[in-house]
Amino acid sequence: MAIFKYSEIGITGISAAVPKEKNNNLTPNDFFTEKEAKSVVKMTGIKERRVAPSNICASDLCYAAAEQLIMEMAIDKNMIDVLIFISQTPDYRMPATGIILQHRLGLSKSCAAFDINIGCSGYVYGLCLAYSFCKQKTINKVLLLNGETRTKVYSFKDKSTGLLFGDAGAATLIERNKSAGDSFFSMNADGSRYHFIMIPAGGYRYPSSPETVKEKVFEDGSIRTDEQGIMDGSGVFDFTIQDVPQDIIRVLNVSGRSINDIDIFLFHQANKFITDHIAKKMGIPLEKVPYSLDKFGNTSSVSIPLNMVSELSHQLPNEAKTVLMTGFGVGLSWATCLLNLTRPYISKLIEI
Amino acid sequence: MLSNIIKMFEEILERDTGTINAQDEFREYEEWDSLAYLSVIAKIDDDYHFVIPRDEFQKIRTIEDLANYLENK
Repeated sequence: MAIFKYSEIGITGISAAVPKEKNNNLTPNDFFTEKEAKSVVKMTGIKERRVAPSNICASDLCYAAAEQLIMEMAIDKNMIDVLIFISQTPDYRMPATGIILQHRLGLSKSCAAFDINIGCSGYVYGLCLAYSFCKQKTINKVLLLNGETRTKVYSFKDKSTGLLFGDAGAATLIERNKSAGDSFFSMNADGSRYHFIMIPAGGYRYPSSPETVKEKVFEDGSIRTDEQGIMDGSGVFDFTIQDVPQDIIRVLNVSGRSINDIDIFLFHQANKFITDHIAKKMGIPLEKVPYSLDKFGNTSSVSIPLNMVSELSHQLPNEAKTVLMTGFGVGLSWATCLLNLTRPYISKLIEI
Repeated sequence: MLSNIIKMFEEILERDTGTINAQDEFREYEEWDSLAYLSVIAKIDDDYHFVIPRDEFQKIRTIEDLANYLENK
């Protein structure tokens, strides 16, 4: 069982960057009728999304977030010994974007840098890995970067995904911290449902060809190529309302805490209807569940740190909080953690 | 059970009392969409603490079928 416990390791800083350009889901467009767009907004809670222009990559959003955090916290760059870049929208297929970021950020050559290809569960997966590195006395600070330009993955002309996704990047600094107390993580995977959310073509199983970039029209009227993302919404819904609550309960049990001991529940921002349902079902008061998906849409692994920067920037630096974070989606993959946020530095949201 | 399911559909689809009948194939309602689907599954989870698996839900055609299915759970 992938359960982890860490002591006296914590998050000391968080920043996030989004593109300036806003897309309002209710602005009339050629593809979604007003009724369809309203129904998506009502069901998901996603009103507005940030869209990166063609020259801005996930790495650029992470770079902006990291530079600001390092500068404002006056971090000695030589103290960053590990850089983890989590993304499914990297700059290149090779080399790893994290290595390019090591150089762009001016980090030491003796810093470990690499990418992890994982989606909506990626913030919790990344934190767990960062915490584990921090158990080594030779590691001073770990820089976790989560970046996604999901608007470039999905077709705007896809009825089930066209209005859901937004672009963003976040930087989180993790280090040993006596005040952090104990942290608990649970990580999960179910590859039997890998086809629920995927980009079918463009990898090595189904390589890119003139055929894979042709637009196809589907039964529901959606138009997309095989190199654009697909999502089986009702399959993901079943998964979310069953597996995610079980994982939350597992982490509470392992940590010996109850719902009442948690100050803030940070759900991956994908669908307000679904996460409100989970909260109600588990007896979580809705005032403990912040949302920012109305402003940014689903930003995959960035949604949890972006939510903290957007909604909790006044609260977190002033008061220690016990938080539970849960990320779930593509893979399928899901992960939950319970940790203490002991007054981390939070940068103001960056727009580029 | 049947009357509870009818009431649930009236609420979710915002229909007047008496406009939902046991023999209706609910997928044919004009108001039936993905939000209605999510709402029905979520309401059943709230009330009966049970998530109907999607492949089983697909076999359910009428309001009465759904009531019978839940009664046998």
